Amino acid sequence: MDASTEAENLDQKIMDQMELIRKEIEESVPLLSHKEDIASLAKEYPPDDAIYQGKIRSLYSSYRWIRRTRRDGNCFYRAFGISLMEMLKQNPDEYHRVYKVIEESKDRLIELGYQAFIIEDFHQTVLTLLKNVRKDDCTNDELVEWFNDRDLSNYFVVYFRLLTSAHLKTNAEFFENFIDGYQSVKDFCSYEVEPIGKESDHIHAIALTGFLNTAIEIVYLNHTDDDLSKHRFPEHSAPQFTLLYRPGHYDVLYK
Amino acid sequence: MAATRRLTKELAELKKNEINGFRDIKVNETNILNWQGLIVPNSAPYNKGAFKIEITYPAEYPFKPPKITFKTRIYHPNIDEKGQVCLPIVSPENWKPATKTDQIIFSLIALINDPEPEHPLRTDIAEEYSKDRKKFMRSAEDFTRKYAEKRPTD
Repeated sequence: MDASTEAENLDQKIMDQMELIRKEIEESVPLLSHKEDIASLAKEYPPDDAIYQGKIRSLYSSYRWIRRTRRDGNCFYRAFGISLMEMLKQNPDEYHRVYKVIEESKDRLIELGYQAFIIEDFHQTVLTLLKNVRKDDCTNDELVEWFNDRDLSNYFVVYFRLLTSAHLKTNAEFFENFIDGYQSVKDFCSYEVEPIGKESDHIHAIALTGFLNTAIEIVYLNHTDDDLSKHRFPEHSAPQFTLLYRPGHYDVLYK
Repeated sequence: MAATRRLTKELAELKKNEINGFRDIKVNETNILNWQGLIVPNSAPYNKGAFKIEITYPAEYPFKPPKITFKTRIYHPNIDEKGQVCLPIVSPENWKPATKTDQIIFSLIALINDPEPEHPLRTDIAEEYSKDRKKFMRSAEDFTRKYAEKRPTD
């Protein structure tokens, strides 16, 4: 066996190994979990880690439940998605408003240069989900099940990435100042928003809430000395739901 | 299946709006995930022949990108002896599910006409391309005459 074949075989072995790890994660963690007691968070950190344990105790005072998401780079969209649907189920006025925004969003994407026949599958899937939410017999368990169906869930993620991208592109002059390392907002969307599995940051949350005109709160749990920090998008709004952010990952918090 | 729904539409669109330099799209009747087509470059050194390519879509398409393989041998810095081509638009980490197959083919034709010696799969050819363009043009043209498919006459 020559050196290059040997190297290729090694590459293949590494790739197989990575695929195996990916599959293991896939099989052991659902895309979205059921609600768990927030106390389960404490077990993830060493008992003698005063900063984390202290912050988690102060979480208890405001939140009772956590819904976990799989760490596949799409956690922000799935956490946002289930929270949005649960909120809309309780709030008919918001439901009608958001339904209209989503219904009309396809035309906005077409104006931005996306092809109708490509985006309509994604658009239709999200509209079907919204129609189900409105039905009296739709339970939260069914919504969770929907988001755990890989194909349906991915359609949702792709479409909400497009909406995020649309808001950034439509307001490119403003967002230009926040896209370190990219020449243009268009490039940023191409590499950091639209590819499935790319992690989300502040800017994605600003853009998606901006597009839908929704208000959310993100609670930051990290290893700095300060108390828990909370950010509202947009600032000073009354949040409709809350996400938990830990470096590189989003889950859902419930009161 | 998500892939079938999407590919049926893409295929209809491609047959309606043909791409200059890409033709003879054949799709396996029992497997829509496998397409073949013929690239017919318009500029030297590849305009003396045509090149068969295969597009293989994963079952998870459009959430994962298709793979492009050259079935005809080609003398090009970015295409290796196995016909594998390094095309950023279909790289798994940057793949966008809203990307259409025609955009991929445009990007492929652009790469054929305008090699990127700074990201080579064949370092020997990339070096020749950068250091001795005349020699590269000669070699690539000879190679094309020798190994490429006949250009369609219609």
